[in-house]
Amino acid sequence: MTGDTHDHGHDHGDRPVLTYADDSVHDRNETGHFELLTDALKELSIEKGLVTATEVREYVDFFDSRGTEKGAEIIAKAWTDPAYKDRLLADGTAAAAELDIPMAGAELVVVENTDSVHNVIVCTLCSCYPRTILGLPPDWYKSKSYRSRTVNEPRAVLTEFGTELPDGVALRVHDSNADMRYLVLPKRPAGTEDWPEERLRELVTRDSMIGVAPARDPA
Amino acid sequence: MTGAALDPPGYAAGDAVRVTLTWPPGHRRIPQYIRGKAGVIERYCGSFRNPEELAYGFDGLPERHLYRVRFRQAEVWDGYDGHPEDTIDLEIQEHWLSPAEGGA
Amino acid sequence: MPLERGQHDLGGLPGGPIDLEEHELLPWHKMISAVFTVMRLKGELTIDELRRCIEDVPPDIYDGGYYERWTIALTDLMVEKRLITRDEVDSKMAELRAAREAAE
Repeated sequence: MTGDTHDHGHDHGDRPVLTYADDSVHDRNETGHFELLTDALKELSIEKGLVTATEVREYVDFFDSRGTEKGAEIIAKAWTDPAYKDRLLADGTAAAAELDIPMAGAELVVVENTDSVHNVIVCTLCSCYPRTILGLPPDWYKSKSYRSRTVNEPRAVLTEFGTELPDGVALRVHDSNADMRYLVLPKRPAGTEDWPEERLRELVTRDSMIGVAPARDPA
Repeated sequence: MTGAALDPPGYAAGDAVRVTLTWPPGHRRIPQYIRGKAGVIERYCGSFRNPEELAYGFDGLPERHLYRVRFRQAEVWDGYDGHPEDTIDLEIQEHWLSPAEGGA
Repeated sequence: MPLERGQHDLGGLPGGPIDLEEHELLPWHKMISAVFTVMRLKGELTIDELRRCIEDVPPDIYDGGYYERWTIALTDLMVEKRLITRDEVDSKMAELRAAREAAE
């Protein structure tokens, strides 16, 4: 029961600056506090005409439905269409747009794994992630451990994902710290030379497009 | 990428650059670990509104040139023990860069 | 040279093993993402402003979870931009809390 904590007499409505976060009248440990706050922000935003209920619902549906399929589509096409792969590496944003995949204000950079180079993506400052391509990021991508350690001990981090790079492979870390978003083009698995694009998509995992793991082994 | 006219980019791929070693308060997109480090421009990314201004409700204009800069991991971290060719790339705005020795 | 860094600036800090467990997103995680995204696309606020507010939340909130700090920061930002007032948030939460308790 925390509703009575709001029966305080003083008026802080005109206080010029905020720090809602500091406000001791809010019991953040009450059950469902953040759901309540989220609902309050949504309702107020609608009442004030900042957003409409329909717009919000559309984006909830978008986040509900958007997984990694678009990323797999891009990667499988790059594996089977060399001209597309060239365009993808030269201008990821334009190549994604060819497949009707928007970048929503950011630019896409695609980095290619080869026999001599492996790429891995992190965002140390927040959790930048190509959301229109891969959906919302997994918890580990947002974790302090991943954000802190991937830049200075990336090989140890890859080991935790079960990924050991062969000797002689250089590791390129990309800290997604500004206006670019990154997608790894994993190596096409051996033994898939005659596979059609649709079947190849099934080998393209989320983790392989972040660079913490290779694409799925068809064997 | 719209906005006020901008000088042409001051750096090109292959140029050696150093990130400014300074600690101004405010919203900055330059992580602490890369300040003061030297690397090489990997590519020019275009010009973008300045997040240091956008973060406080200003329009972020004029836009700033943005580069991806590649750093050798051995240069960034004392005692880095991975492959000697291991690198880390970050996006750095032109006003955080100055010319460095070397380059391609 | 002071090496003070913001609580969000994590690169290179020591950290424990990465928790690889996958969790389903909760409905309110998607809801707060949607509310923010619609306002951002309509030009009411910018991602840079939200990031700055996230960087400024108290440490216990910062450490208390990704969507938790997002929600607090978005509240702070909307109040700062005079899109809503603190009293309106309090009243609306009280109303929603009462409705929830009545339904139990």
